[in-house]
Amino acid sequence: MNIDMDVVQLSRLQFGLTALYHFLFVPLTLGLAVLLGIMESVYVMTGREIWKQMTRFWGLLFGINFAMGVATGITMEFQFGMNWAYYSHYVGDVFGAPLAIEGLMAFFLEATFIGLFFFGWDRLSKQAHLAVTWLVALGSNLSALWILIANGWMQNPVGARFNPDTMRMEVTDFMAVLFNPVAQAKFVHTVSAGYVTGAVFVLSISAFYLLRGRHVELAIRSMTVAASFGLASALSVVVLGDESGYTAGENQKMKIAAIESMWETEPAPASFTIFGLPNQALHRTDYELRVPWMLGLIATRSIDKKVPGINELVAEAGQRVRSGLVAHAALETLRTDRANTAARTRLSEHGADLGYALLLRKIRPDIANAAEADVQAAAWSTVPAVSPLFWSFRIMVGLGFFFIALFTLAFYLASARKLRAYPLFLKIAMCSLPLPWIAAELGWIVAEVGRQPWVIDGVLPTFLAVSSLSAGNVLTTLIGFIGFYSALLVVDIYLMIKTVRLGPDVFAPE
Amino acid sequence: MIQIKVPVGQSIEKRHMSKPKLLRDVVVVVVAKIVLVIAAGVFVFGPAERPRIDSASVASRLIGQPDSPPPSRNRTP
Repeated sequence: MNIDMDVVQLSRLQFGLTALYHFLFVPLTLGLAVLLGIMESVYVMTGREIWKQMTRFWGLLFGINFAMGVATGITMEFQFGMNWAYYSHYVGDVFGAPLAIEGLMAFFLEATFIGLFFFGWDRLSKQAHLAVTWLVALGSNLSALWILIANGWMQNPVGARFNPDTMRMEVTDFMAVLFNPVAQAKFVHTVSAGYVTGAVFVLSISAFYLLRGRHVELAIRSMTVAASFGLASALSVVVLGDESGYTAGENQKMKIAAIESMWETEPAPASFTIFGLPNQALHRTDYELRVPWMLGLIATRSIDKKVPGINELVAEAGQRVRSGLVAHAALETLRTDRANTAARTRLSEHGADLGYALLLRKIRPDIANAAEADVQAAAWSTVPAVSPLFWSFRIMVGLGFFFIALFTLAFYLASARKLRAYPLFLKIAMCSLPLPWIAAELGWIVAEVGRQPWVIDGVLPTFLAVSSLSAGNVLTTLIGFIGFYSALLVVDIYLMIKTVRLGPDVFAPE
Repeated sequence: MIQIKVPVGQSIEKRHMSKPKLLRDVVVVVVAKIVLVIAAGVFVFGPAERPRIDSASVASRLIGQPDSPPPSRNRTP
């Protein structure tokens, strides 16, 4: 069979598709879990049955979504071992720890209490069941925390060093891994995006009920909760997204420059390109529309610090490739003479740039003989795909501001008890249902495409991390995933629509 | 199939949780899962199917010496 894409591209495609698919379910789990906790808290405080009915109804949708999230998440962890075996060996000692903690701590907590949530209504006291609901929410959020600590380390690999004897990265400071600023910023941004997703989900379905005149009591209360929770979350997601952008500006300058399609370094403070057409081939951005100072303020929080452009960063990358070649030569020596202290010292001095020299492996097999043109090619390979980043980021940010407007209006109408008076608003709210998912997926595209060509930023190029599999094998599993996940999606949508159509009657006596 | 409408006073859980039926359902589900996990372990994730990577193979890939033949699999699925 003639396959156009090589095994690296197929493995990336498979992981990207499965990750994006998995993340259809994660944000709703995060958001709905907290909303369930809020609704049930009101039920316990007021004793009014409608709040219990709301908790159970939205809880059923949460359960369908949760099951899908678990099923699609597990396969991703297997892919690390199957498709990314070199990656798993090289950084497994660091990356594996948060994944293991996620399973043992967060997922076990979540999985245990979700059973009690569904089957404990008639067996637990009100207070005990409320505690269970909040523990499910806590478990979901802890789960996200550990996954994002792992992902944050891929973006900003702190607290670890390369051991030339084992050919692995090893943890030197677990606290640095845990409190990695990139991971923490990503966590709060991602979780608040999940809260927005949960709130939009409840708002949209409630709007659908109000437009149909069905389940009015439940829908109005649900919209009120979703509006207030969603407004706080939408504001948070923008503020915390700014924090995430700032940490990326500190640690992943190339990602920021690519998001901005900024080729030349501007005098501080840099302007922000609202619109433009990135032209990666010619290293320029056409038809730019710029806002002065804005990027400098966002990325550096100052008016006197520069935001480096792509050309300047490529020149820096070239220097690091040359430095990395020294580390590479030292490593080569150490593999044959482990007692060579001079080589060990050279590796220690230039080890931070070893990954840059590894970029040359894509250009020529004997990288020790790399010419200047090869170094330049390797340096330019550190520029990710600019256009997808540029547009994904802008659409995501635009949607973020749309959610603030949507929830502000919803909050006002709910406070004024006028939700039913504005059918146009209800229609807009109902049609907004897919938007938070689009924003969340685009956010991940920005995060992961922006990290390329690295699987671990500055440490390990993606193409070296992939397993020695045949493209045919990967294509087979990719087709299998697409087929199986498509079937799961049909089942999921069927169950969701069926449950929404039935509404809270699903629990009501005849 | 889960029947949605339930008689007055009976929750879905109660209706579907009579002990013999619950026990049978639990046993069927657990057995099915065990069979699936063992089958996946043998045919998909077993040692024979698992890429084997050690420090030598990583060194070979990173340092750039000619790659040894795929060190990974004893058989091809």
